[in-house]
Amino acid sequence: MNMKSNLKFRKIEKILIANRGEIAIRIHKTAKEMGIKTITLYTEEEKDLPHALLGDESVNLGSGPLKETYLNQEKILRIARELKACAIHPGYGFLSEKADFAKKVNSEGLIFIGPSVEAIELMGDKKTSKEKIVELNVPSIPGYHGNNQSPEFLKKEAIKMGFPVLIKASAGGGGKGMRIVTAESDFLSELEGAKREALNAFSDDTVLIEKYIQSPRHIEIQVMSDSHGNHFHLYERECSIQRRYQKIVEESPSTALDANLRLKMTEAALKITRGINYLGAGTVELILDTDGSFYFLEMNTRLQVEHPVTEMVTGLDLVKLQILVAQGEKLNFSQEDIKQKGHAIEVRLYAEDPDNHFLPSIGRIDLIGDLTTENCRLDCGYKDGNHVSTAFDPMLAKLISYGKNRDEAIEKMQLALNEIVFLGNELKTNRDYLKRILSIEPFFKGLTYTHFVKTYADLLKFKEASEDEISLGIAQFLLLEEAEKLNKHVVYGPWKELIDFKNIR
Amino acid sequence: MKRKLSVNGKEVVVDVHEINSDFVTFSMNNKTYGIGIESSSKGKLLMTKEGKNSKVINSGTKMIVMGKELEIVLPKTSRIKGQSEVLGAMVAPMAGKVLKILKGLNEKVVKGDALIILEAMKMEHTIKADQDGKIEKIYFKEGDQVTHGAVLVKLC
Repeated sequence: MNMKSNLKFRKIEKILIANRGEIAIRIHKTAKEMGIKTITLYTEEEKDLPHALLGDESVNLGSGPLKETYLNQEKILRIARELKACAIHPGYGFLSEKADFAKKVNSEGLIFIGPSVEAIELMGDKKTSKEKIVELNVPSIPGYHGNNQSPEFLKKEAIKMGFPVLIKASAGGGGKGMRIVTAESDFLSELEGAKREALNAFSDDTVLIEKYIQSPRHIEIQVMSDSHGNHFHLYERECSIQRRYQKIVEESPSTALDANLRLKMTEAALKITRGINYLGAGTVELILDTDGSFYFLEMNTRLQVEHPVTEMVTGLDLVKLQILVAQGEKLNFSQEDIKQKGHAIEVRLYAEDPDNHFLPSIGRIDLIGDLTTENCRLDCGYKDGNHVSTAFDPMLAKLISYGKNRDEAIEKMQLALNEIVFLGNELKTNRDYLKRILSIEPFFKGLTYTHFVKTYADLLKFKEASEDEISLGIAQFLLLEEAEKLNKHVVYGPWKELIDFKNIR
Repeated sequence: MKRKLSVNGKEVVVDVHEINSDFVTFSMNNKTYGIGIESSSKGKLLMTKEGKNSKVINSGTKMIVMGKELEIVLPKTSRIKGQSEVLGAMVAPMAGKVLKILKGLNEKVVKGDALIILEAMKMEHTIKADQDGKIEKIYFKEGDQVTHGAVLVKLC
């Protein structure tokens, strides 16, 4: 397969950042370091957000649903054309994995900072990506997804892959028509039950069978390829702490990988990028079973939210590498040059209330806070005074800590979470919940399986403030009240500054 | 001087013994505390208690004390979660968007009538009348974003 190989060198002078919030800010930062001009986009409601007017040029996309703004391909291409952008960086989400958009960008004569259209299409489809994986001899979750629905045949397939197995309705999800079968003797009755449920829910009782992995870990390998046949891996990220398939905590290295397993998994990822002649940044997602066997889950043909974790441990700027590769340059290092050093943890701060069914929260951000903890990084899409609405993703920011080992990274993160507070009268965030995750025994032990938040839900329950904490809070309240009373007579001093600060918002 | 404060929605009785610009002595739950302020700047305070310093970050009614979030207000301004204090005031059970307003001003309704459809988390929630009455006031229009606990409709 010959995709986008040996690109001629094309210097990128101006990038249109087709995204918003923290990732738009992230891309802008590296572009400016490289001396590249930027165009940022924003909607009417986001005028006050930090990414809006950040670019050398900025364009208001108007208002309305996403399909009229950030997902409006025609509008974005028109802006790129009019403002003479050389390249478009799609960020993550939005149009980053829309092959038709990448195609249009290329036909405009612009550079799409990402992989080729073919790679996006190939890895974006469950069926074609799985076929390719099998062809490349990379393990995928044993399963039967075919049309033969005879119970005896399905039972034979289940025995072949080994129990426990998962019976899933092919037509839909949400747990309907899903059954976990541990014993061979239960298979036929469970199959009957699953089919009945599926027929009821989706009017289709077609099922698929997959090997059930009891304590899976979600391990992903960061990959980076240039157009000169060089395919690199930038090690793994452990992303097992999730809720409803939304990642909450990510880290690197993974406590579950020893040198041998790391070698096997990174080799598997490289087999894929070499096999499809990939270009740019990507992530190969793998499921790791407790016995050390791992299986391909999917490949994300874009830069990911949690890329900072990799940047902290390798010292590399992934956005810079993406841009160099997009310019047709050869990445001038070897795989041996890329080292994994220390430990990084990232937590995602969301506008939600974990202690009230994780319901989304909106409101004004009064105070984000100042990060002074050493070796920590905050990638944030908001600033004080901004309003959070349900129009966009509820992720407020990513907080990343780095230490020479895991314990140090955890300690730093606890301190950082005391500084990045996201206070607002109406606003609720998962900050306290994140602190709880990082403070329980199973986390220290590295027992980060994908069922972590469910399994340890009891340990993660909200704890009331201690008397100690309450006493300090009350003292603060009383002293501030007193100072405000005395303020009439105070013209200078620390209280004046505090009261003035409180009054201007 | 005995004071009632609402701490994270719970009422706490505090007996203030002495207070000046940078130190306060008070009792709470049969324990006495002497806490001072060591330094402050832009919403960040360093409090000192029994020789130990602790950081407090303050913003409006909320604060972060040693990493823990607290909301302290005077009792009459505290909000009761999810329920209005007054019958006849329909509140939003969660943050969302007003999709449809089904009744008009002065329209008569009976208990259980659907008044407003709220959209939150890609699902629709119907807000119903909690008593018989007449629509006295509608506080939002279709398309408005509302916060958790916002009073949407008032009946009389």
